[in-house]
Amino acid sequence: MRNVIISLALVTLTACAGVRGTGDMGLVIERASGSIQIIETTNNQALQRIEGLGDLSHASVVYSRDARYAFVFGRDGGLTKVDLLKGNIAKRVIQSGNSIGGAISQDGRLVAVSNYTPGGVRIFNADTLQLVADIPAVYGDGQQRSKVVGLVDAPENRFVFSLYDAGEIWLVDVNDPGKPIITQFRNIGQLPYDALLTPDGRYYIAGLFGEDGLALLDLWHPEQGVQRILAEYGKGEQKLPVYKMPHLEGWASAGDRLFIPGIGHHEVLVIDKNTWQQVARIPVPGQPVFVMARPDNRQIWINFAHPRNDTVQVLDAENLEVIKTLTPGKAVLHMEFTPRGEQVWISVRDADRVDVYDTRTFARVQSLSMTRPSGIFLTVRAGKIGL
Amino acid sequence: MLKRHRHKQTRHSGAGRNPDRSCIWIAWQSRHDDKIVAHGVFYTGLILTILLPMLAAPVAAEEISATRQHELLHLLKQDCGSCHGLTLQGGLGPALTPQALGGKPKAAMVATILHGRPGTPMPPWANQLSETEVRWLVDNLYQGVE
Repeated sequence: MRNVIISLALVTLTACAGVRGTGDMGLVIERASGSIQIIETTNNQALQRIEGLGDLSHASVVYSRDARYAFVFGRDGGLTKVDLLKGNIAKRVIQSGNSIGGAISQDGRLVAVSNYTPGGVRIFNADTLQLVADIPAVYGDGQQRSKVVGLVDAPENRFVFSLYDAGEIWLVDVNDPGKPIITQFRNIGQLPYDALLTPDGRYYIAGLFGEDGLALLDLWHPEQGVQRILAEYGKGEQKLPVYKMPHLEGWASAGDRLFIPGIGHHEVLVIDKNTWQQVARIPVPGQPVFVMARPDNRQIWINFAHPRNDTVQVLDAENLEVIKTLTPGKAVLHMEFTPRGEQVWISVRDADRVDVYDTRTFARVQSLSMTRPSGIFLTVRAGKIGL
Repeated sequence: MLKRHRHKQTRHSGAGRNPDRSCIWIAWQSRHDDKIVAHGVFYTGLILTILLPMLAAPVAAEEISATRQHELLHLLKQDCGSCHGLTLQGGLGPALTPQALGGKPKAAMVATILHGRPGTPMPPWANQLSETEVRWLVDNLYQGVE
């Protein structure tokens, strides 16, 4: 009898021709058409297109811990759970009027969304997408609500985010999901526009638009408060106009060095992680948007804001020299490395293409046709802290 | 008097320069002398009174080629859209729908686009867009863009 059951199970399994893992899969956002394409990086191909995700003009994605489900955060407040294996929309809710991004908790049970309108963070059950907690980003006299940016997950089941209008950082403990415990850090600086968490989950750093420097919160020692780093950066220099706000996600770290986009300066900044002092400023042709390290940290890849958004530069992380300048096409919006970094996927919006480059030879090895592609998100993100 | 505190405008351009630096810089000179500031407000008001109606005048479609119109609308959606939203419903920057613009004077919009808004992330576009092009874009915004 037992053998019969095992045989039946085997027959059933082999009958499922589509059985596969998701480790080499991912999503590309087609920003203008509210659609996504499911991709895989073993054969560099698109597997399926899914429509009906609303306004994806500034979309981002996090993955469930089993890397089967993608949570897509749309501009219109849409939160969509996509099943990569079935290739369909598992669930979808419109949770606000205008949102900017999200994060998944360390334990994978909660998905948090940061909203512009109404300003705040909403936390959902990752299985059902039912609302678990609502955190309005109130400030001032208690009537005003701030736009929320730079939302990340942090160790010990916490979320961290910044209040753009209020100049605050909030640390939220969600171990009792229905009763989040909020710690507020005030006067951290003007107009925090994005933030990042170091890959080890320790330092939360917010970029400031309204003044010089960056705001740093050490999550090992939140009792020490937020400190300002690089306050002297760019002081007294005329700032250049910024045609697209830089992203601080996926920041680059190589040894003791950290690489971040300068703002209002066409430079990449190199910071010593031990002292938080700037050790170098690397001139680049435009306002950097993404500054990303190849997973082995040997190379730093950079793309730029309008009008230099046709260019990608690669830096040698050791001697800080530009080793390659690529011009994939008009409007390079995003780059994503394969899990071990042998290839990088680059979206070229105005060319309606996603290109795959070999990061050793810099040769273009594949080109996929997509409609106005923007963000590229691979499932390797499922196991990473702070994305 | 006027000379001392008018808006200082310097143009950097020329062959061999980094194209990113070939932009017009508007630096706002501020003085702490109340009298000078008062005069500055008066003269600024005078300049605006003369200039604003010009900035607000509608642009005839034929002044901008069909190709350029297409490019401008693309820029509006994709690049302005990165802060104001692809559908212009707002993002980090405010909404730019006809309802949101409501009673705001067109000329102020034109000036904001050309020269940016100091203290906010809104950059100046005068190095990439002509005044006629900006007026045409603003006309489109007030009418509503598809």
